[in-house]
Amino acid sequence: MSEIELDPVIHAQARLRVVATLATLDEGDRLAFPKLQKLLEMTAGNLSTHLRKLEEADYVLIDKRFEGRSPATYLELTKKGRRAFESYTETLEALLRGAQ
Amino acid sequence: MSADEPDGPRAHEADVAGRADDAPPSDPAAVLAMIAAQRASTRKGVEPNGPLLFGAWGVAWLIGYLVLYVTYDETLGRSTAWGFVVFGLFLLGALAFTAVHVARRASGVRGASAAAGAMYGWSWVIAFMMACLLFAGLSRAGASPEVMAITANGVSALIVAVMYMAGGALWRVWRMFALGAWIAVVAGAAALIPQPGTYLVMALAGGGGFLVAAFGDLHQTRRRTKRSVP
Repeated sequence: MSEIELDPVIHAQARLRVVATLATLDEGDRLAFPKLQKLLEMTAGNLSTHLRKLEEADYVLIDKRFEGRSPATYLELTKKGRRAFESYTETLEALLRGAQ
Repeated sequence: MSADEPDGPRAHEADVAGRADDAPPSDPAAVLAMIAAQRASTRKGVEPNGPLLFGAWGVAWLIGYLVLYVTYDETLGRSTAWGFVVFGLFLLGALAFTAVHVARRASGVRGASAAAGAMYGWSWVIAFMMACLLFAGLSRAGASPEVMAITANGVSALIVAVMYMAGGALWRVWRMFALGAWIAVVAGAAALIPQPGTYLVMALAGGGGFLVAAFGDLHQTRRRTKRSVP
């Protein structure tokens, strides 16, 4: 598989799973950190590391807020992130068609 | 998930150790399968299970209405109080099951679709509360047991029908819309049939409709899962 054509931000197993999970939600929907962690079965520290990288690339919006007195973090895929995921899967599909 | 992800847990440990950029499998088909599996498990985690909910309501209607049918008393001109208690318990059971299931799946999701879901949920609550006021008003005005039975059943079923059709439109689910349309037809037909035939129609055609939708949904989900795993 050609590495050059694939987005290096997404082309890492853990981040690909994060982006695929968030892309399953409708546009404009956010997911709470514990729920995302449960869906991915990742440790909190590991997930935070990958989310920071995705935030740096402007693919994921990290929304920290207070719900009553307790802090809550919500994650949302940005338009840029959604487009990146779509073009990543399109590239894979093109590679697959090329390989056949 | 971990079954179709060859280096899942080990890759995560590696991440913690510092090798954060573990590449996915090198075969495009395997990566696409991994994405599909992740999306499927996400949907399972955030969306209500259609077959399960249709099934719960199907069983509640089928048994609940059959109980009303068999406890119908000619001299009273309605089903016995016990019949209504058992019927109510079945509906409350299905309602509690639905509420817990939907709340669990929807927890942790915020934004546009969560707001739409909340409005949809409140529509049920408001519609049924107002229907109860309507029934109280009819009863006060001296409606006979037969008129009460036809109205209570017909209005309630019509609310269910309209809410299912609206839900189908909201989430673009044809099966849900079709089920709502079918319940509307059943409710209309049941109103024309003399008591206690109404309840038999509601049990078999109404409850049966839910169960057909549940099995149809289950079949479709299984087929889709099979297709997405190459």
